[in-house]
Amino acid sequence: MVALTALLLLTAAGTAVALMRHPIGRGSEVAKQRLASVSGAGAARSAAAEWVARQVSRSSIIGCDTVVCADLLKAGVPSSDLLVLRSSAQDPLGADVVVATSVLQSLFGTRLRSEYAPVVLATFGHGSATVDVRLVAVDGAAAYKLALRKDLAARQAVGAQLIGNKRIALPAAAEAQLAAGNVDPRLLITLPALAERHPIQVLGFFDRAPRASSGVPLAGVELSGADPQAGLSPRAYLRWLTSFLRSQRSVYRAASVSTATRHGRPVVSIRFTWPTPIGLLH
Amino acid sequence: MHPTPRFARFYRLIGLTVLAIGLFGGAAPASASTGSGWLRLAHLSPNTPAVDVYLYSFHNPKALVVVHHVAYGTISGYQKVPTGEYTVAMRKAGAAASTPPVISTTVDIQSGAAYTVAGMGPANGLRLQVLRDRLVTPKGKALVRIIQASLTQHMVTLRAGRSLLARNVPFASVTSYKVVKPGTWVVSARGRTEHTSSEIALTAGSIHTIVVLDNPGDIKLDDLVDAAGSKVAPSGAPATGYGGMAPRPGGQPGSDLPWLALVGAGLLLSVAGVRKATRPAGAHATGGRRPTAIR
Repeated sequence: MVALTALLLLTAAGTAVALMRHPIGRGSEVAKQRLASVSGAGAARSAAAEWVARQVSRSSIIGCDTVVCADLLKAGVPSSDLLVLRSSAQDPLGADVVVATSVLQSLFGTRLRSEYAPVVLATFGHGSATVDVRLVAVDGAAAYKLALRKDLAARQAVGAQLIGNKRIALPAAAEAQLAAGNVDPRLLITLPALAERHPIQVLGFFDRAPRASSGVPLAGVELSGADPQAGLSPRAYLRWLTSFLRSQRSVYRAASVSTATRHGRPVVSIRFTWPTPIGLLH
Repeated sequence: MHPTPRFARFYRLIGLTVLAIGLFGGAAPASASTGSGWLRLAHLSPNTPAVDVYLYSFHNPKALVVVHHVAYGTISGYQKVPTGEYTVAMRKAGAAASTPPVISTTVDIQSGAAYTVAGMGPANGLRLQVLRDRLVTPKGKALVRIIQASLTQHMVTLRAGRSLLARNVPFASVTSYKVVKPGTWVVSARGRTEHTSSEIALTAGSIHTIVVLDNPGDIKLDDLVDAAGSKVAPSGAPATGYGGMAPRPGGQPGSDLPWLALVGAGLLLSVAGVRKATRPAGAHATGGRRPTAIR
């Protein structure tokens, strides 16, 4: 593990030095564009690494080129969660998520997007500096897309059922998101268990990843941290709500449960990590 | 006390009438809106303490299903449950309702379908698995599937007479249904160090789940009848008292509970009428305390 970390850091440093020593003629438009592209690529890589470190499940294996893997290490992702992709002889199927830079695009060609990792979780940067965080389709793109379609249909079906749940108060926008199947199944599954005990008020679903593919659901929700109909004091209601959420295990344990006060009333913000598991709804 | 043949016929007639009223009376309002399916719960994780299992309806927060104190080897009778998606969660047996339950899985109850929600695997890897139970057999045949829930025997091979039912079934796994010639068979289960056998009647049109269980210092087989007769829906909950729909205080309009009671009464009268001791399909408790619905 130490050796891998050292290797990644050395590679990253080498790449940076190579980029700095790259002959760039002053005043040259081409050189300026190249410099902008290089710095854009670096910024996109860093943003992608930061995002993956914060938002992607720690049980996921992340496929990356050596530079991005070094960025991910710096961002706090353990080296045991990284699959360094160095040659086209490898495939990214051992990973759950791949950070698709131009390096990996050139390694795997069109197969990266069309076969190995057809769904974009998030995109950073523009043009040639674009970095996509992509979901790996272990059984192939066709099977994955089929599973995704089924999952969307299931989310729409249960979303419609939740809309009819009289103990869950929903704003119009949230109802529309539920009906469209745009809400993460872990949230869908958690809400009725909460509502059976006490009424809940959804303030809104949130947390769409930047420029995600259509069909990637919203993985966060804001709930009111108090409900007069529950017959509990605001403090007791908030304690019950956060205790329920923090007692969950494994796939149903939210990545973060935070409380805040907005316009004088408590708000509980719940967010799950990506990727959204497929097949939780039958 | 045994009824005379005349009274037996009377009881049977009254029983069947009550049963019909219960079935049709209960089914009509439910199926007009959403319909209902059947569900049973099984605790098949040998080293996991007893649990209380909760099903929370996505649509109707009042349609809460609770089965209390499900211990290893306990398989509840089937319960009639309104269609729709449910979140399945567990609490340690006896834990207060105010303590947070742990969400485990979901089940989508479809009209007329039957399901087993089984707690499988070791305690540290406990998972609730939803099994779709078949209700129809090929004509003149029986169907058998195996649930291997013995932790002491990691692989078990099962035979009905000399015919192989399943070879080397690993712990915490479920086989698909296998078509079997009807008859009374000595079903044997052989693990690495233990073996057991049991005589099981596999009648034509019957569907069985045979569960391999740990028994202190031994293994044993439990035969669950998923359905008997290709047109017979699973039954058991009303007559056995296992679990059940959990009514809210004061009851609720449209509840199936009165109808279930009526169906149960009809079944009991019918059973008394035919003077035949039968075990309701799917009703088994091979270990632990009998679960009850308290809410």
